[in-house]
Amino acid sequence: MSAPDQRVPFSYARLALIAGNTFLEAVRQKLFNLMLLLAVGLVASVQAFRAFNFGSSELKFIFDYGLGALVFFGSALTVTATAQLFFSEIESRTALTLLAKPVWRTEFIFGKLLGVWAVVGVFCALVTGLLIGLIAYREHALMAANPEMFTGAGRPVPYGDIVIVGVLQWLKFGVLAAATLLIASFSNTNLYTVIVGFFVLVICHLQYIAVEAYAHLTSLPLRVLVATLSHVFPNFQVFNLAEQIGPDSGVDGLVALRVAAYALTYIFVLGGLAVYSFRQREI
Amino acid sequence: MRFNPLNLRPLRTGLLVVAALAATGWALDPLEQPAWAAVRAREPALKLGTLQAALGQGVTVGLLGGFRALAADFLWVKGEVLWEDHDAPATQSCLKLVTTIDPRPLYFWINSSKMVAYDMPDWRIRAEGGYEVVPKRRQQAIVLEQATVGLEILQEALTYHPNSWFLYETMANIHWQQTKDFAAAAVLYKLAAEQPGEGGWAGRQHARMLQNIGRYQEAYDWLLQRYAKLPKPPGTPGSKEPATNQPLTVQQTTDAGEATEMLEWIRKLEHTLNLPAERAYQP
Repeated sequence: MSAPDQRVPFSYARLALIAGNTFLEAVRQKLFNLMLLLAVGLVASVQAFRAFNFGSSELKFIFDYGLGALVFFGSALTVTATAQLFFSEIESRTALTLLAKPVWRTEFIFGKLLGVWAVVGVFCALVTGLLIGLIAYREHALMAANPEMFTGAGRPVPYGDIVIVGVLQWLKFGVLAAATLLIASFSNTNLYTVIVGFFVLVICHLQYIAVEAYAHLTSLPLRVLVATLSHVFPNFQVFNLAEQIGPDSGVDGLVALRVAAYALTYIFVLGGLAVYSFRQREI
Repeated sequence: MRFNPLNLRPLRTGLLVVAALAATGWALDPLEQPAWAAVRAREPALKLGTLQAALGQGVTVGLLGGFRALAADFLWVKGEVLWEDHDAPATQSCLKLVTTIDPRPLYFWINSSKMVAYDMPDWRIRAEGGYEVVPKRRQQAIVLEQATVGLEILQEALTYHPNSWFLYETMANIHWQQTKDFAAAAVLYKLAAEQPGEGGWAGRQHARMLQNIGRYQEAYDWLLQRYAKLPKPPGTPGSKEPATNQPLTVQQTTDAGEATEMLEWIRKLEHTLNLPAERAYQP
């Protein structure tokens, strides 16, 4: 199956075509619509949960809640959509037909990745947009009801920072999609890919605990092993810049850029490894 | 069975993928570490001192993300229900869970400690037969036990909110009202008074506690220090501006009342300390 690689040059047009088809296929799926509906419903329902807010300010509560919905449903959508879209090509044998033509496996894998990432991008944009709308609505209402509490110049909510947080979550989903594709490239079933994909998601969120907990090990070989394993998985906690947003602080642009570069490098490396692994695979 | 090198291909691919990911992780350390440090600096729950903390704070913060505020709020409601039933062990466990899930709001810490230190001794004494039946010594032991637990909660809260005057003040109140340890209360009121945002009450309480334990000279010196820093509207002793016909604002009236009250207190202490008139404070 590697013969076409040698005959035709790599084509961005073919990659874009595969990505476009993947995107269309994904938005037509019930899964995307369901996740979007659930996330939008949850964010919109935050008004009903305001009475349960004890600890923080109302706007902070809405932001936390909306971000929770974005992260939860976005992660679920990313893992399941990536696995489903990849295996639908394998199971319906369209991958076989496609790769029999002069199409690189790199184009196939990165096309799938970009298609899924674009779908997740639409999801993130819609949920973040709705969240911003809700916060702006409540902010306006609070400012009208308690003008004495908003004495500073301008609006207190840093909307630009909320957009940055949304974009960083989208980048994180890109890393997750690439990792799921890497798993799919050697996995035999959709279910296995989804389950392992979720495990990877949990590990990437919690790997810092292992690093912290085993930082003071006295055994050198064990320390090297833990350090190696901690570097195998990306640290998803670095994408959580939401806590930077406060009345006296905002998201540090340099930190956000570093995180973005971190994510893009991982997407590229994980995508490349998925291509490598897929090349070893008999379809 | 004959050895087939092709059988080793998946293993080789797997090892290569792991090695490439570990190398990527190490190469991305310069991007990850500053971002991780910035994230951790704003999120105290991610600073894990012990494995126990890692399993409590780390896992919940890492997995619940934005939803932890809502989860903590719901648990708080459950805690309130248990509190109404006077179920001390269940309430205490529930409150602990709330502050584990979301250690950010002061509300949870302050109210948890108050429930434990003020309400639970009453429940326990009533459960053992009531104030008429339970010997005074036993009552004091119960109060002291519960106060100690309440103070431990606040001590833990200080790791997340090190500059909170409210926490120091609540600790001091427990020492003052429950354990009757006025010396400890005096120290904590002073700490509260030294934190940013404290309104002045803790400073006056510090002097009161010193008086309670007979340290009049220290109380006097402290009050002089505080009095010098008080705003003095026109017409009040120590003010550089003479009284005018202009009516005082609400804030100025409050300030004037506070300054006058403190000066009277200073005079009383001068009397207690038998200070000669020539050594009396001149505002």
